[in-house]
Amino acid sequence: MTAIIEARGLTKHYGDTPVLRGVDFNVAAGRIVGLIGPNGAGKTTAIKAILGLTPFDGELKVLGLDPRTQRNALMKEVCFIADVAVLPRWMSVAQAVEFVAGVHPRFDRKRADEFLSKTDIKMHKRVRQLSKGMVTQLHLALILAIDAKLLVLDEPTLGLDLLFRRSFYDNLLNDYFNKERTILVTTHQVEEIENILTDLLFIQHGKIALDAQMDTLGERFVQLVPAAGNAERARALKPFYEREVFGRVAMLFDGVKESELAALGETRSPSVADLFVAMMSPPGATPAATAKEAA
Amino acid sequence: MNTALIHIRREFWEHRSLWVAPAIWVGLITLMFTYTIFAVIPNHIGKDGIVIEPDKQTMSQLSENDRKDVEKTIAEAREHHHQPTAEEKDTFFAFSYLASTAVVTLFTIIVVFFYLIDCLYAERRDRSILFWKSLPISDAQVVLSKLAVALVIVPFGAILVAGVMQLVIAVMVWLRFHGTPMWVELPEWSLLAWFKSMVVSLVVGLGGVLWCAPVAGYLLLASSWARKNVFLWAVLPPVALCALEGFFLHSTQVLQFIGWRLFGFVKLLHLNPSALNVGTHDSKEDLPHITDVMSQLDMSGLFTNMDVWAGVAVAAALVFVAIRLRRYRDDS
Repeated sequence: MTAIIEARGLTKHYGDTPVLRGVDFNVAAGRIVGLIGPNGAGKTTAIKAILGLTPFDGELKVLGLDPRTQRNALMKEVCFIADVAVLPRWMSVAQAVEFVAGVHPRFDRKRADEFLSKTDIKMHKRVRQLSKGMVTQLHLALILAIDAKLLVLDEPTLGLDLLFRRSFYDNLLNDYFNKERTILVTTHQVEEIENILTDLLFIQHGKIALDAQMDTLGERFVQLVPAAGNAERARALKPFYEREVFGRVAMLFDGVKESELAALGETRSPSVADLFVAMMSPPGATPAATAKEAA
Repeated sequence: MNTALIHIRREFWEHRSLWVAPAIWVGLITLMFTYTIFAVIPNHIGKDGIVIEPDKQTMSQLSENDRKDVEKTIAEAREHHHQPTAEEKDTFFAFSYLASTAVVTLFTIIVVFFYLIDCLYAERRDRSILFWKSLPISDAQVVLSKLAVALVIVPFGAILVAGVMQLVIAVMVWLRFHGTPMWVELPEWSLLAWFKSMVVSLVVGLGGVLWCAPVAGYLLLASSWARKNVFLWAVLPPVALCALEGFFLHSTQVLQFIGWRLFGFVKLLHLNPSALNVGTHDSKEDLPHITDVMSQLDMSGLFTNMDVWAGVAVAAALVFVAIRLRRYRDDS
């Protein structure tokens, strides 16, 4: 598989504060990768590095290009939505379409017009006159009409209601994504995108905490709710996280066979949100551990 | 070429004051002039224009001596009153055109000043810089298109618009005075004078643009640099330097330098007031004589002056820094 993004030892400091601490990861072609992490984990900095928007140390190749020195060539192949706030508010819809058509060699104006005609967006309206959802639709229309190899989305649905969020990702899958294209997306609303992701990158404190393909998560991670009396036996298998819900303990295991755990209680595959909470919580500070300490 | 054009158009979409403010200004000047010739002049000097005749009723009430004094004054006025020559008419037009172009372009300079300090700052203020940077546009393209708008498109556009305004005003004058006794007093409209004044304006404009390029570079840099209060960043350093120098050294070197850097190019054009005979009012010579406005300008002084090219080099350096700042600055 061709690597679209190759990062080795990606490092970035803001003053004395390290934001990325030698991050390594690959993103292959035709994948939809979720870069997930808590606030301040380094997601946006990693994305800025990928887009050549910020200086960094380490090695980084995006589509074989160095974002530090070959940014202009790179942006012909890469599209980027930061969040709904970045479309210039003074611009009219028609001007936005005309401008992108004028500067982007891979922009298909007809496609953008077609997409916009299915929405309530009027061409003469200015961005400041559109609702947040409409601004996102407009941005998406511009992006979908660009024949780019990599699409980078940084919190693209921030501040949108559920209907717009759902329609955003539906459009992305139906009208944009194919095997030639790669999407890298960061969001806090993990549960909404976990069904469309093919790969997962968890980032915490400037380091990659998890780099896995979605279809391997079920084999690798298992959630167990032990039957009464089995909790200690289950703990002996070293869960990396446990929590108490309604008086019952739920444990998460990494690399323990599901068949082995099934004998101890009820098992299932954890959701990405479960994994996120488990892996982002500091060691020893799980809700269960905290509860025990308090007792 | 098309990409450059879309960048220029984008500047006018965003900064509508670039064309709206000068358009309103030119419209106001044209309206005021039209109002003056149609509504004000008839009320003050009569529909027949200048008539050097004594009022019979007033004269009958004067004493013999007073009447003789008045008749003598009127006779002198008639003697001094003469039909302007074609050359004088050309000159009159050339000067009035140059003056009206100056009124339009000086106003435009104010608009350009505010454009320059805002253009690179505004995109960071509203975070739209992330949108522009998501497109395959280089930072040099963006900054240079803004510089081109400020130093080429708007100044020379303003001169051309002033030229059109002068044509409109000429039509208004013709409509108002053609067929009246006033018409013989007025200079005939002269295409040559208009054309020459346009050429002079464009040449002076080129001189001004080259001379003021470092000022534009400085303002672009301030716009690219300031996190907020960009107006203060643009204005305060030179003002503070002047104030500090005056306070501690009791001299005005910085002020003189800034004045020279803003308006010094006019000296380099070697405009020669005595050659224009401005201010001579000998008998029938009450209009300055110029046979060729162009001959009064010596552009060689501008293009051979080291200060001009040093200024252009400084401008290039300032613009380069502004481009680098836009490229590597990360406060989005």
